[in-house]
Amino acid sequence: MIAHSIPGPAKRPALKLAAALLAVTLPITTLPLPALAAEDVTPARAAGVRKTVQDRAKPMLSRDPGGAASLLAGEAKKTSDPVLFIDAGEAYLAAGVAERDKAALEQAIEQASIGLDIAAFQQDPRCDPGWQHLDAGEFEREVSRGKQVIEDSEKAIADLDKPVEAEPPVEEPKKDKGTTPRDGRGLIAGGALATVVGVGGLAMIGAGLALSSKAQKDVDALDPSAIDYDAQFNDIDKKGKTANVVAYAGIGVAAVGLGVGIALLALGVKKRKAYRAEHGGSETARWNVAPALGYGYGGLTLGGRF
Amino acid sequence: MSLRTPAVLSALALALTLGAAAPARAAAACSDASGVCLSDDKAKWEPDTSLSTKQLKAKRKGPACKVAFEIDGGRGSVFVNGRYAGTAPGANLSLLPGKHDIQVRDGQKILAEGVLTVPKAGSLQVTVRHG
Repeated sequence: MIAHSIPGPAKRPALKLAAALLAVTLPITTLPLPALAAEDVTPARAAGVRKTVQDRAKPMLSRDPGGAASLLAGEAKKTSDPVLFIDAGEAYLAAGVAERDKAALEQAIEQASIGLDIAAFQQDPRCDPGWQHLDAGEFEREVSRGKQVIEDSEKAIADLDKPVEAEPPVEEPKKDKGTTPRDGRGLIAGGALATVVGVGGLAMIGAGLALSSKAQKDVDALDPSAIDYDAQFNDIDKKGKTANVVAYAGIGVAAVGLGVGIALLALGVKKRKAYRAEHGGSETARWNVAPALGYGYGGLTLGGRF
Repeated sequence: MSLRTPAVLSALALALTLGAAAPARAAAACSDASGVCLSDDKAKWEPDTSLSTKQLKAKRKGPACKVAFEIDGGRGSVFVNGRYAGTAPGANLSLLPGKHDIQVRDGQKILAEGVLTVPKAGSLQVTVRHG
């Protein structure tokens, strides 16, 4: 009775079959297929994965080549992509050269060598046809790049292993004791000073003679009958003698000053000329004497450039 | 010369003698004509053979065996069943028991190629002669 009370499926075998088929089909199409033992790698797919990695590593290469090398080497190991292995080799080479790091240079050789191994194997008939990272035309370029990395790394290691030769001591030009060049400016300065002293001596002569002359005039003008004649005479005589001393001293000062000064100036100018000729200078020492006149005074000014 | 000097010299001489007499580290030289030596008799190396596509796709069952590849006198990359597996020295692989297509190469130079029969579980040392 109960069985008879259930209508539908028992009476419609076509519907029952359709439902059964749907029930079987749905799980098959919606559930994931069991993973293949090894996923196929095609050059196009590999290039896509590679670009992502290279884009991540590229900005690091300049500021942190070691970090870029680690990243590239890690991804190369994961993907077994020969190009990434060679990229890692290049990055290790850059890091090794920058930091003079032999271990990094050895890693550069190792990474590039693995890249070359894989590239060579992928052209071997034993290689799985479903495991190809490169198009046929790309192998030569990558092999050449890998070999270059190895060659450069080996050269860099050889350079590191070379004993550091002591650089020949650079012969520094002997510096003068002072900071001033030996161009005779000291002689010229000394000569100018002595000349000024000599001119001062001339002035002393002039002053002495003038005072002496005035004293003589004063003596001549004295009245011998005056009560204080002797006292005045002695006083003027004293001044006259002093003036004579000043004049005599002036003669000495002038002679020494001008003699030494002119000699030093001559030597200095000569030396400067020789220095300029040797060092290519164009300026020459200049000195000049010019009259100086003004209200209440007159004389000469001595100017020099050295 | 102090009294201790002869004792120190004797100790040094003894140490040097013992050091010289100690066995040198065994060289991993492989003298097999095929250029490949295996550490386990259960394993088998068939040089210059390869597996068919069907054999390559055949399912291998059983506990994996730890296979260490060493290169006698150099380096090389190991390719198993058509794909890169590692680089020796230091290539420690875990292979399922059964036949595997193997090639070991250093750049363009093929150091060894053939079929390796891997035993169940355990470990296996494969030494490949370079050059």
